[in-house]
Amino acid sequence: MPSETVSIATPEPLLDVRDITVSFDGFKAITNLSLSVPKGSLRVLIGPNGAGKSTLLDTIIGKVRPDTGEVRFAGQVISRLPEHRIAGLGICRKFQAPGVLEGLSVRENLLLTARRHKGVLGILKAPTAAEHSRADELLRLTGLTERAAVPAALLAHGEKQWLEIGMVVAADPQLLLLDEPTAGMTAQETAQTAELIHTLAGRHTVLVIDHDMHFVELLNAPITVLHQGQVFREGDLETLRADPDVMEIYLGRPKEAAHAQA
Amino acid sequence: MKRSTTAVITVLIALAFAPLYLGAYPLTLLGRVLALSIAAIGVSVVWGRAGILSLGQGLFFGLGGYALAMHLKLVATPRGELPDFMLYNGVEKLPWFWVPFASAPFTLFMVLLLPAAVAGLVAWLMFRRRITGVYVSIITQALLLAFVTWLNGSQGLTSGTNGITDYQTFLGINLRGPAVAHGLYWVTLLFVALALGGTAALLRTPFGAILTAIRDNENRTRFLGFNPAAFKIAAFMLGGLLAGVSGALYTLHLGTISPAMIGTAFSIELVVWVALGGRASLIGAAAGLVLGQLAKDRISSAAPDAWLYVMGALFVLVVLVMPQGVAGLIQNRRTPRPTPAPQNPVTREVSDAV
Ligand SMILES: Nc1ncnc2c1ncn2[C@@H]1O[C@H](COP(=O)(O)OP(=O)(O)OP(=O)(O)O)[C@@H](O)[C@H]1O
Ligand SMILES: [Mg+2]
Repeated sequence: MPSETVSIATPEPLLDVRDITVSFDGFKAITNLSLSVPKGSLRVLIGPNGAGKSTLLDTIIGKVRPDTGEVRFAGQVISRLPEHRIAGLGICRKFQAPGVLEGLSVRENLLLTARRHKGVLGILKAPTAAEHSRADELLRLTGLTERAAVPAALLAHGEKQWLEIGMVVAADPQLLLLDEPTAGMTAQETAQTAELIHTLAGRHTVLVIDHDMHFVELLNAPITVLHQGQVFREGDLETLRADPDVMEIYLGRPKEAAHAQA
Repeated sequence: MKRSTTAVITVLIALAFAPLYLGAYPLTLLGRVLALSIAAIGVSVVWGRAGILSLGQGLFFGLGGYALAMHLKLVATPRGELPDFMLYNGVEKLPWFWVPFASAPFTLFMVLLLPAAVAGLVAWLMFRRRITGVYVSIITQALLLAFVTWLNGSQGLTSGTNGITDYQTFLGINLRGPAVAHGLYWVTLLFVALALGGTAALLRTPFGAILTAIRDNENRTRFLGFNPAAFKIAAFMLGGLLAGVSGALYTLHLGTISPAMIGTAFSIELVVWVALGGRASLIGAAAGLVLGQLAKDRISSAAPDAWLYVMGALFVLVVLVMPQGVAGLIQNRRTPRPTPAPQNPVTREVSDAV
């Protein structure tokens, strides 16, 4: 028996953001922020415009580097790795503005992101049968089967959103970061997206940013509220709705909150 | 088989029979420009597919050309003596880097390795630091200038501005022999076919798709787990390799290689022809160069002064009217693209665009 008591009850979180500060030319977009997300869970991140939500994701994927603090993924410090290595560990992000590869067809977009080996030599092999069937599966999942051969540049905005969700899932990452996945979607598409995220959440750890309260309600998951670059509150939707401070910083107008509850 | 592939094979076969229906001068000219078209295929990969505009392809072209010319010069020099230009310049011992070029296998290996390796090094230095766009064009141009300046200044080592000349024999074959003109033409055509076929096959693999992805949105590919620098280095090396082969063949055709043949004018002209033909299409790039050079031969012999204006006008035309060149126009006609779906304005799309 080891003399020290090892706590088995709280396993290491998959994503562990430890006390990070991020600044742009002296302006602190994130201040001493810590956040941990357990493996296999679904977490929602909300907060007013400019709260630092996207910047947090930028920091996780290595697009921006924290001034202080570190980001750990599966126990490993990743905040100093090159971007493609971070992605290679199993972190994939959907950007706020769709970032599909416009010069390639919908299918090529999915095939490319589904590849296991992303080095120069690995890429020379034609896609395997498994990768092809994975692409087919993703086309069905995202409802883009009919559009498979269309260049991604020609998709409608909503379709691009779906394609990008498909791409993010294609690589089968452990951690999915979704930045406003329902922006520009109809109510029905939003509901479909919520459903899709639920099916993904068992298999992947998912962190979703969104402003749409209806969507957040459908996700039915623990919520972290960011405000001015810091964690303001954590809790479920009911508790947060009852919290006047949250109402004030996030929704601003209590009337709209009442509307969202309807 | 795709219609375009069939068309290309038909043209290549027609070109293979050119010695039967072309006179001596047109055939020589055609052989030369076909040799150059291999460098254009390289530019199409590097610029058209990977989005890297190199204005210094003459560097790699020159390395291939000089590597072969050094060997030819040593073969043409009597055993135990020094090449003539070294004697004139008071060089007493064969410089160390000349020595291994006495071997033909070593030389052939170097024709492939040297341009590719130097291109790889240059690309590694640039792309590791994430240098892109116009800076790449400036750096490649500057490196070429440095190389040309060194060649010009090193009379005793490289024969300076005169270049390396006066050689006839390669692998025991007299290059000026009557039967050789056809042979050299066919060898050149074979290399063109290999370069086209090999590069097209390579670009059909997902390697081609990832180059397109990097050209269109380099950051996005990074966050999908690809290292853009590695792919850009690979593409740049391929471009360098093709330029080197092109330079070596061109040296065989002309019987000389000199700094003036590989300099800024050469490198920019190469890019102009590729732009005119269609940089995103290998065939477009190769055809653009061949037809452009043939036109140049005509126009500059009829009205030497007009040539520069014609070039300038063509370049302006490409930039303003057809950024994808002639190949782009043909493709648009065959497959009319639907207009892109209207986009919803999304808040802060620009600031979040990666
Ligand atoms: N690259 C950058 N350079 C300078 N300032 C930046 C940069 N990226 C973000 N910011 C600033 O950091 C703050 C946080 O921005 P961020 O995009 O993370 O907000 P957000 O919570 O995602 O907002 P939204 O809901 O509008 O998407 C904002 O004030 C923004 O202007
Ligand atoms: Mg944001």
